[in-house]
This record gives sequence, C-alpha cells and structure tokens, in this order.
Amino acid sequence: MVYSEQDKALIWLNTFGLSLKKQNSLLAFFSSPKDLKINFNNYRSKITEIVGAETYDKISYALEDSYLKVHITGLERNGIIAVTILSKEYPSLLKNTDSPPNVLYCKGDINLLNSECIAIVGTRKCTRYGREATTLFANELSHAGFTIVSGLALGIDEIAHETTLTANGKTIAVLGGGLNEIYPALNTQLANRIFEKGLVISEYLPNEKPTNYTFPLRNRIIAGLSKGVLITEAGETSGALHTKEYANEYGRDIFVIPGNIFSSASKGTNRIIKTLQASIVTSPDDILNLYGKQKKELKPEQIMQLNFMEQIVLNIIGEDEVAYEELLNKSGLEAKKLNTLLTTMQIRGIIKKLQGNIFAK
Amino acid sequence: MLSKISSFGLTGIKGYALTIEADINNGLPSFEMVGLPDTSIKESRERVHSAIKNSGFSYPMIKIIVNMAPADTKKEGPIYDLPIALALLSATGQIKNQNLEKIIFLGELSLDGAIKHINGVLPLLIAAREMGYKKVIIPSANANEAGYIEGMEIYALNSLIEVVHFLNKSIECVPVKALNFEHAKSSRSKSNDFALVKGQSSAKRALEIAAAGGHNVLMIGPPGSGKTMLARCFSSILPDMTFEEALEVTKIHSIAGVLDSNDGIITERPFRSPHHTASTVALTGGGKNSKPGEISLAHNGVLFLDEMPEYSRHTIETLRQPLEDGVITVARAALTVEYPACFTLIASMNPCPCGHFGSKDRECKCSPSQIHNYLNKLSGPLMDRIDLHVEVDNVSYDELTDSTLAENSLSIKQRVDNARDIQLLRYKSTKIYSNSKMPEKHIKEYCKLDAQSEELLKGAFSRLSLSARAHNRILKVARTIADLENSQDIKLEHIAEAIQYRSLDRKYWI
Repeated sequence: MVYSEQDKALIWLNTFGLSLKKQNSLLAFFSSPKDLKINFNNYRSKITEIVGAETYDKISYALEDSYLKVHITGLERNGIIAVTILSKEYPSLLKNTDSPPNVLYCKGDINLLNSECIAIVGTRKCTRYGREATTLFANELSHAGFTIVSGLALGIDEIAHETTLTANGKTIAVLGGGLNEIYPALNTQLANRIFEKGLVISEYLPNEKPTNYTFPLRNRIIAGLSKGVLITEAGETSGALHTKEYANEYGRDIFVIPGNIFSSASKGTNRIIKTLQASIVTSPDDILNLYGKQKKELKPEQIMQLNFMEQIVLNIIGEDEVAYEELLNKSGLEAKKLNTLLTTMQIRGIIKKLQGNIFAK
Repeated sequence: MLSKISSFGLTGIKGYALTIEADINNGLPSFEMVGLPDTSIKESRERVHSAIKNSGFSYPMIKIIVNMAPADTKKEGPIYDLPIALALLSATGQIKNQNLEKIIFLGELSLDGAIKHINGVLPLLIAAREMGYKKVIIPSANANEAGYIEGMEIYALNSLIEVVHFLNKSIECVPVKALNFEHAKSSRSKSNDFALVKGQSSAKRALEIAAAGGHNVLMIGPPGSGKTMLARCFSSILPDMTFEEALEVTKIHSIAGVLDSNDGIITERPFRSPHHTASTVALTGGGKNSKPGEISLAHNGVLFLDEMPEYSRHTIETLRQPLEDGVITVARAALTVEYPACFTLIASMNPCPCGHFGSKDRECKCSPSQIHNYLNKLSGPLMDRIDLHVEVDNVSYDELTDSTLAENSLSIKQRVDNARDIQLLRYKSTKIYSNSKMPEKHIKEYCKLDAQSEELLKGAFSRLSLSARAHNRILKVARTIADLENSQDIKLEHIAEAIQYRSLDRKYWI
C-alpha cells in the first residue's frame, strides 16, 4: 500500500492516542493534515491548548520521518492497511456520518469497504430462535450480494460471520479493540478466517486493548458502514440497541425480527417493534425487495426422493420443532430404526438436529 | 522354647508367606516384637495378653520375643493377633500339636478371646493356595468369602479356646462348606431394572450398545431427566461375571475393606459412583498403604461420574491412562502396586451450569463464556476415550405417569450377551475382548464398509461437521451395533445409527 503524504500525516496523528474530537480540532486549525505535521512546532500555544502540554511534548519528539516509518513498517509486518478518511478506499457511507474515524486499520480485502453492506447484530446470549433466524438471513442476504457487517462478538455476531463465510459470502467484522487484540479470544479462529476471506477493521491502534466503552463506539462504525441494520435477537440491555440508535441517527434502514413475547432474549427487539422504530421483517425477501435485489436461486430445488418412513417422519415434524421422544412415539418406530433414519435424513439435508435432541425441517 | 506359626501377608493384592516365631527365655517379664510390625501389630501384645488370660490359658510372665519373618517387609493390620497368641501358647507347651507350620492362621482377637472379622481374606487365601498350603484357620465371620476357595481345608472358628482345642484334637470341627457361585448369583435379585425407566428410548439404546461393546458413555441432559437412574440400571444389562472375574472383584473389595461380610463373593458387577468432591487419590488409589481407589473398585463394572465437569480437572484427567490400559499403578514410598482397573465409564453432565441450555421449554440463564468454560472442562484426550454421547431429554408428565412397563433389563441383557459372545469369538486369538478396545489394525480388518456406507460416513463428516477424531469411534460403535443385530458386515443402517451418538462432536455445542 502506498500512502500519500496527507495519508501519512493522518496515520501519524493517530498514533498518539488522541481522541477523535481532539484530532479533529487540531485538523480544523490547519489547512491539511500535512500542514499540521510540518508546522507543528510553530503553533505551540494553540496546540497545547487543545491537547495539553504533556501530549504536545510527546508529539514534538515524534516529528521525524523515522518515527512514522517504524510505525508503518510495523503495520505492514502485521498485514494491516491503514485507510484514511482522505483516501478513496474509505467507505463513503461512513464518511458522511457525524464522527467518522480518521483512520481505519484494515486487515483483509479492503475492497469490501465500499461494497453494499447490511449489518446483522444481536445479543451474545442468543437462543435457538435467534440462531436460526440469523443463519437464515445471513445466508440469503450474502447470497444476494450483500456484505454482512457485524461485531465479532459471541452469539448473533459470530453466527452472522460464520454463516456468511460458510456460504462463501463477504463479511466485515468491526472490532472494539486493536486488530492484534481479538476479543473475545474464543473467536480468534473465526477472526483468522475473516482475515483470509473477508475484512476485519478497527479504528483503534493494532495493539490497543478493548474496554467497555470502546464497544458501543465501534457500533457507530457498524451502523455507518451499512445501508441497513438488521437486529435478529436482542435482550433488554443488548449492545445491538446502541447500533440501532446510531443507525437511527444516520438515517439507515432498521430491520428487526419479531421474537417470542415470553423470551427475555427478545425483549429488546420486541420493544423496538412496539415503539415503531424499525420495519418488521419476517423473511430475507422483505429486505431484498426493498433494495430491489433478486433472490438468487442457489440450485434448482431438488425434489427429494423420500421413502415411506422418511415421509412419515417428515410429516410428524411438519413446520415445528419436535423432540426425539415425541418422534419415537408418533412414528411407532424402534429407537434403533429411528436413529438410523434421522441420521440419513440429516445427511441428505432433509431435516436438521438442534440442541437438546430436537429435530426440525 | 521356640515355636513357629505360619500366616500370610499382603502387598497390594499379592500375598506372601509369613512365619511368626515366638521364643521364651528366662529373664524379667517383657514382650519384644521384631520384624517391622506397625502400630496395630505392636498393640496386639495387649490384646494377646488379655485374650490368653481370659480364655483360661496361662500367659508366660518371663521374657518373650516374637519375630515376624521375612524381617525386611513391613507388616500391618491386626490379622496376626491369632498367630501370635498361638505361637506363645505353643512355645509354652499349651498346644500339644507340633505340626503347626503347615497351617495358616489369620485373625484378630478381642480381649475375651473371640476371633473377629478381618479384611482381605480372599486374596490371602488365594495366595496361600497358590503356594501349596492346604489347611487354613480363619475367623468365622469370614466364612462366606472363604467358601468360594476350592481345594483347601478351611476352618472358620469363633474363639481362641476353640482353635486350641481343635489343634489339640479335643474337639472336631467341620471345614467351611464349599459355596456354589452359580447359586450365589441367582440368589440375589437385581435392584434396578430398565423396565422402570420411563421414556428415554434413545439413551437406553445407547446404553445397550455400550454394554454390548464395552464402550464408555457420556449422557448430557438437563437436571432431573433421569441420567442417574439410567446409569444405575446399566449394570443390570451387563453380562454376568464369570467366577474368575467375580473373584478378582471380591479380592479388590476385600483389600479395600468394603466387602460386606454377609456377601462372601461379589456376584453383581460393581457400580461405583464417587461424589464429585472425591480427591485424585480417592479415585486412583494410594495413601500410605497404596490402597485401591474407586476405579479399581469399579473393576469389571461401572464407574459412574455424575456431573462430570464438577470434578476437579486434575482428578478426571488421571482417568486417561487407566481407561486405556485397564490397570493403574499406584506407587508410594513403601510399595508400588498394580491394581486392575478395567471399567466402563459412564459420565453424566448438564449442557451448561444452569442445565437448560438447548432445552425446548426452559430458558438458559448462562452466559456464552460460562457455557464454553463448562463444556471445556472435559479435555479432548478424555473425550477421545468416550465413544457414545447421548442427549437425554426431559421426561414429560405423560411419560412419567404412563403405567406400561418398558422393555425389562433381562431381555436387553440377552441381546448384550449374544453380542459379547460374538466378540469373544472374534478376538479369541488376541488379548482384547470387546469392540471398544479394538486397536487400529483391527479396525481396518473388522470394520470394513461397503461403498454406500463409506459414502454416508463421508457425507456425515461434511454435512454434520463432525470432527476427525470421531471417525474410529463411529466405526467401533457401528461394529457393536452390527454385532447386536447378529450381522457379519457393518451395514448402512449400523453406520447411520452410530453417527447419531456423536452429538458433542457437532458444532452447535459451541
């Protein structure tokens, strides 16, 4: 990656851990980022006023090119590309929000930054319902050509990324910490796969650790990048609700999947519906139609040749989730016969097994 | 005058011959005991003194020396009270019979001269028989155990006086009546029966397969779904123990001191369920005297670990080697003992700390990391040794109140016995006896798949995201299922069913 002088100046400014607000007030004072770097020592009093004396000293020691060079080499060594707000790769949707980060550290395919994105977010404590819904939407939306944006958290985020990768779709993960500090560590492997096949971005320096206030902040990037935000399942205090607020502010389309009124994991989504803050979607087609996308037929629907017993099992399952014991009683089969049947049907993709010995179509 | 009495001692489960010598010399009254006796033996001086006096014999008030040979082995336990007392009586000429060295004496004395129950009689007697001893005198409370030893003249006597009179031939005693193992087996009823377990057909079927092939099982399910009940019934479908197996089990239980003296021999396969607070040593065996632990007590039977993730990680990890080898070597400063530990592991666990993860009608209250940590307490290598994973569902009210009885254990057991016979025949030239112990080279030989089954298995791996380690497990379980069906080849349906029992390998368990 070749950086222009202006880019370099922004990357340089971003290394001092200054808040976005301070960076922007500095930049507002000078005509360009490069100008700031060149004339840094000439405006001591003004700059000290903004950043404080200590930081001023710290920055003034780092004016040499060698400092920046070391930093950029470090980024390159880690395979990280810094995309600044001035570069043409910078996502245009995000640029037009009220507080776009000046530098986005990216690892992966940076062409995705300006692709058509839909965010899928939700609770970390997802239920089977949330899991199924997320899988369905992530799968269909990514097949229709959308890039799926999410936050690499456990639960819904993880499923959204995972499903998209499995479907060979494109996905962007926005981190709440630096690119070298994957959080939660459980998702390190998933992150590695996204490095390869998708894109992971962060506004924080690569070695910065995430803290509890960085996560809500990164939600503005998730909302900012995307045309629309889909909340599949969210409890009353879920972080996905932050994303919704940002999406609201930025005028993004907000979609929400209605949940079970008795489930605490759906309290947040149901409240969004009750207060009329989002459009209710019950099928990926609802979103695809809105954007005028054609549902991509994956394969011509295979007509499964079912044998007699398979048909019986399928009839019992119907559209419902059915427990093993119920299947056994209703089909009148022996356990060993039923086990055999269930496995073959799963392998053929006719039914699937859910947690807790429950089967569904 | 010098006298010699024979007895037997134990190191681990092996016995060794012991000579107890008593010498009486002129001098001030004293009692010296040499030959590495432990405290309980040193105390026997007082018991012996009182017992001799209270039995109406005279205790020599001169200098007494008792030696226990071999002198370099540590001896322990109160089982030498009787031989020491007899050595003294013989040295003082109160026993006329001079031919005592051919008889083994074992027994603890009480102060009034009665002979009390001792631990470890069975291994002692077996060892004595192997060394060619023919005549034994033991406490009458141990008569039941001794009845199963053939080819020995065993007398179970009540008191010191009785022993002396018997040796002096002033009374006649009848040897212990030989007991019939088959009879003992049938006289005891099985306590738990699968007929009483409502629903849970999937788990029952998995346990049937486990019993038939000697596979280890993990049951996962919400609290109150009947996992413990299922495990308790498991021993009722295991094939009966042979006499040799029963003897081995009884030996270990006898040493550990957990044998019920009314039982004599253990006929039912042991079912051990140590609590999850059990220490590592409690499980593996150890302590100063290298006592057998729970896994050895479960030898030839079932070790049931309820709530497996609650055990300390270190404790469960120690099971890895015994699960593989069937023996455990307990090494302590005093001695190193190898105990057999060939058991079927049945473990149960909840899917998460609150127990309702994945439940259809209850909400789970655990955070993802809690669930992950909970499931992660079982290490990969340990999970590798567990062939069958079954999900146990909650039983519905209708099922609970259903009064029809399910299939009883006896008919399941017949199928299991049949499958075991097939396996014994298959492995008769090798050291293994069940499908679960099948080594790699035999898997290739005995678990051949036709093209169709191969295709199915391949499909299962890609479609159901099974982990690679499941491959051989599935083949072994499929082999057992085929044996249960009396089928020479592994057919498509056998493989398909086997795949069903690998739920923990599947991705959705986080």
